Amino acid sequence: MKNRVQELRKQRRLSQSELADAVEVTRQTIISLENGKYNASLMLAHKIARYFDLTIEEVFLFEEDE
Amino acid sequence: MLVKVLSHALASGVDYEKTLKARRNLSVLGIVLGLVVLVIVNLWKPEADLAFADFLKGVYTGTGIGLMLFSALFWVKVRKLLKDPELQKKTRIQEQDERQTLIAMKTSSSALLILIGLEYFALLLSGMFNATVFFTLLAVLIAVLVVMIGCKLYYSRRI
Repeated sequence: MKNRVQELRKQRRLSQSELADAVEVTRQTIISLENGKYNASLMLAHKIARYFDLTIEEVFLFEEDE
Repeated sequence: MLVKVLSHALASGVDYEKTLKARRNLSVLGIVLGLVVLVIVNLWKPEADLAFADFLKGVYTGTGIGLMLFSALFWVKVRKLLKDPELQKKTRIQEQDERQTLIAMKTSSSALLILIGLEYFALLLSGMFNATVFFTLLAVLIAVLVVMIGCKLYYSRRI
């Protein structure tokens, strides 16, 4: 699943550590999310979307065949 | 309760502090248990014909000392976490991180399956040489499978 986490983080000039602290995960999780290696749980997706003041669908791009 | 204390099934900062306090108490128990093991080992007088008795005594002594040392160090670590909210938060995040939890689950699951396979192979091989080893491995294999089925039933109802 693709996401805009890196794009949104850079827009707000945040480091991966700062974002990780804000949503209470490790920096490695943010790295894996941004690389597309890891899919966030619903809870984490909600936290990240809320942090960026967006909806989940605006941050995480669901594809039809998923 | 013990499973929750030792595992990562935690909901919030308040829960985590309670868990840390429970872990601190458990570590005291660990020190006491280590001491008990050492006392028992020192009082144990093995049978004269028991092979490798000295080696066994060494293993049990090591277990007792290891348990005491590990529990003492753990107690110090938990005490440090309880005194430092920032460090506590950082540790809580590390423990509760969902990716780390997923990695731990997959690791346990894969390791268990691989070990069952290796154990079965050892079981088949041992049958050609030693009946005691064969039946010991068989008993362990059956015990592992029973525990696996039990855990599956438990979590199927719980989740």
